[in-house]
Amino acid sequence: MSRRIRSRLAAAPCLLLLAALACGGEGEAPPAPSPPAATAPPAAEPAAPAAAPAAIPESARAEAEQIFETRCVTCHGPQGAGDGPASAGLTPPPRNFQDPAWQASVSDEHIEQIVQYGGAAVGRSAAMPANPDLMSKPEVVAALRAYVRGLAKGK
Amino acid sequence: MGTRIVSGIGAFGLAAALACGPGGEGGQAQQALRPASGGAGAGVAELMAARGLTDADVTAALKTYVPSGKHDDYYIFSSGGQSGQVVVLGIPSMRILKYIAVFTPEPWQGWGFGDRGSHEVLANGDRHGHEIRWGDTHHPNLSETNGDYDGKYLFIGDKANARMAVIDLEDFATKQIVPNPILESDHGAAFVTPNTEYVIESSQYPVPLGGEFAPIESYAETYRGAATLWKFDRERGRIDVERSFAIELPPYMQDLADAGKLVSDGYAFINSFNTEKAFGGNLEGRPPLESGASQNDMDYLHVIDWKKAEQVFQAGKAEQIRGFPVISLETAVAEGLLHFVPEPKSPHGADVTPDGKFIVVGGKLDTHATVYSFEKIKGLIDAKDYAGKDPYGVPILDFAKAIQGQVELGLGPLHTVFDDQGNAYTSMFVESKVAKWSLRDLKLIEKAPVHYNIGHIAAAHGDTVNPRGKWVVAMNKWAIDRFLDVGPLLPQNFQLVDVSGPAMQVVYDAPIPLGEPHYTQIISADLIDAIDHYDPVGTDPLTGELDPHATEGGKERIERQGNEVHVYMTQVRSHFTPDTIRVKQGDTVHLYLTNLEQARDATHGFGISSYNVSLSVEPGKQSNATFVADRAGVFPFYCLEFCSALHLEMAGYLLVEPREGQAGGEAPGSRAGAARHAAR
Repeated sequence: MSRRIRSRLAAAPCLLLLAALACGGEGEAPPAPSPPAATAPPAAEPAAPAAAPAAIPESARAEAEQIFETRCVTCHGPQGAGDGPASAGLTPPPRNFQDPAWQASVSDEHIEQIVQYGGAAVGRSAAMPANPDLMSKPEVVAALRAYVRGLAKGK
Repeated sequence: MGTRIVSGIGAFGLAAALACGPGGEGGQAQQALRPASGGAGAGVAELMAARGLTDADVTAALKTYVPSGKHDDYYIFSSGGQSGQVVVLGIPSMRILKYIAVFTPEPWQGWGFGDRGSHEVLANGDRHGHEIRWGDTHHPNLSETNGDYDGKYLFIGDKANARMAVIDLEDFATKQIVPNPILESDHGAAFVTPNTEYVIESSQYPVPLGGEFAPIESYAETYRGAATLWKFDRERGRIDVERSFAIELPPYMQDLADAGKLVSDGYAFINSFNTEKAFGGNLEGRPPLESGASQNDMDYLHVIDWKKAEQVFQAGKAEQIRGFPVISLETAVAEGLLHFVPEPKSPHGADVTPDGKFIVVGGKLDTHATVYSFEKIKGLIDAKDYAGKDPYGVPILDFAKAIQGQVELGLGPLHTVFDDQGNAYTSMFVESKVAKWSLRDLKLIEKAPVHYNIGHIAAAHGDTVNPRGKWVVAMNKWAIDRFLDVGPLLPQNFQLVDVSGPAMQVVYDAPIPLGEPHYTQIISADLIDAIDHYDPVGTDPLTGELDPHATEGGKERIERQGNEVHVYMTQVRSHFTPDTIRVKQGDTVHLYLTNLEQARDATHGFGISSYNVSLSVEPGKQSNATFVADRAGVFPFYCLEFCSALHLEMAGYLLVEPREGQAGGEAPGSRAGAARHAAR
């Protein structure tokens, strides 16, 4: 047991480092979104199974909304259009969640991974930070994912 | 293999023996011998044996342990002594949570290192044209409503330089420092009245109140103490100097104070310890102060009617000393504002009971807690029943007629706090003990050793109308053998004592590596409603409003106006915008930094090489700094907080082009590398 725990702890930084290196190696803005299979990230921890929308508790939804307001709006904007107050200074620009094409091109798993581990962990911009306190809150992560899904225009 | 088996058996045996110690049961022995399982809590007995822990040790650990992510039940606000700051801890874990920058510059918090707001607050605390950047914080006091802590403000005095500061507990930041115009040192500072009408600052070492020189041989004639009543404007969250005043006192070296509550509301009680009017002079044929001030058996507890004093002040009967209104000693006596009652000598605690009916005084060179009855004191005052007058004409009440009783406690009683069961807890400096005694019976109940030389003592809400039980903190002045060696200068030791059981138990030793963390107050955590970010983005913490220079994302810019360069900059993980600043040597640079983030703990710092600028920009905060770029060259700046994986990449350059005809380096006549801050 203790050997396995140590091993996993040792592995996690390597995974993060590999992801960061992979991102750095591109030397340019990440490519346009591609089919989900091609972007499947190496998960540092098993992702919680995506819960059906009806199964997300109201308290998790409320917390997710508060998190979106205080953490995500800064770059992604209040309606998720990618026009937040910090967006002008970002290269690449923040994701526009309203884009139906983008919505259709990513899996729930991708959204949940990037929310927890940041952009570099899934081959995207390292400018998106991780949210380590959410790694132990799968319901809130699911609620955030649902919130982001709900921002699509013409959904 | 054989050896390991033998060791294992030994460990089990030892653990079993420990578990079956005095008061142990057979059931415990059986539990201790059970093979270790795979779950949490496994191997408690083995751990106890391996670490040499007793049952009492484990109980203490269980009482104080707060798991990761869980929060403490209480805050402690502690003076930070000569750090000039305030320390925040939690109970029961005794974890240090924050140092609040107050009287001294603090680079992590950007306090006094370029941030213009902090320079304004610090500069307001300067004295006599001297820039004062140290302080000796002694007595933090929480704002009160109806005699209980309300968790809104914290006041703290500077013993060394006679100043008072206001800390807003919404963001745990200092908002105001006011110097005392007539005193040079204080000690009973701060103490608040039951609805924070006034924050009282009482003097310590007497001086001529007008600030002039007077020979010390004229001490009795020209040196004076004072109680300063700072009016607190709750709407603004600031001391209102214009509505504040002082009451002149004899040069008796006033000390600790407390405000009455409930039946004693309207009165303040102040210790003194030098009714002998000694002033030292050990090479001039006079005894040192320590013996000169310990000759009399009694000193005087000052009883001040502050509500009547307020009326006297408002009636215009105060005289102006250095521009500050002071009710003279003569007026105070004539108006009946001030009375003395003898108290045991060298006291350092005047503590009003939760019901407001009694005042408890401990004398460091006495052996009692002396309990005064407010009803009796008031009766003597109303009846003008005096035992005499002091040399300044102040009426003296009769000791025997004023007291409710005395409790024999032992050696060196000092300060007293209260719980919710009618018990009092007095710190015993000489004996190094906490004495628990009953207010009802005036009887000693128990003494518990603490380590060592306990000064002040605190209980949860222990000096309010609504004390909580369970916890007492012993503020020990000497650590001696409690901690690892760290050179000759040792930390002091805050010991957490559980007082909820039949016997007091010391459950934690918290080293405080500051001198000297003198006094604390303990408040329920649920009364503190602290923010975790500033809203709206670009808030000036001093005003709580949007800063006029707040910079919106997308509107970052650099504007030149003559030789003034205005840099409107934003911060977000992980870059500054702009990250390149071009100025000419001699330009005045105004930096306006806005942290666009509002995520909890998303703080960014800002430090520039060689210009003595260090800023802390918490989420949503605005921080502005102004300096003269007097030295040409290239100066990196970077984020001081490790805010993301790309923290090291959050950096930029200040490029100072040399004046025409010069190659770089120092400007003629400028101090080498010196930064000049326009805010000074």
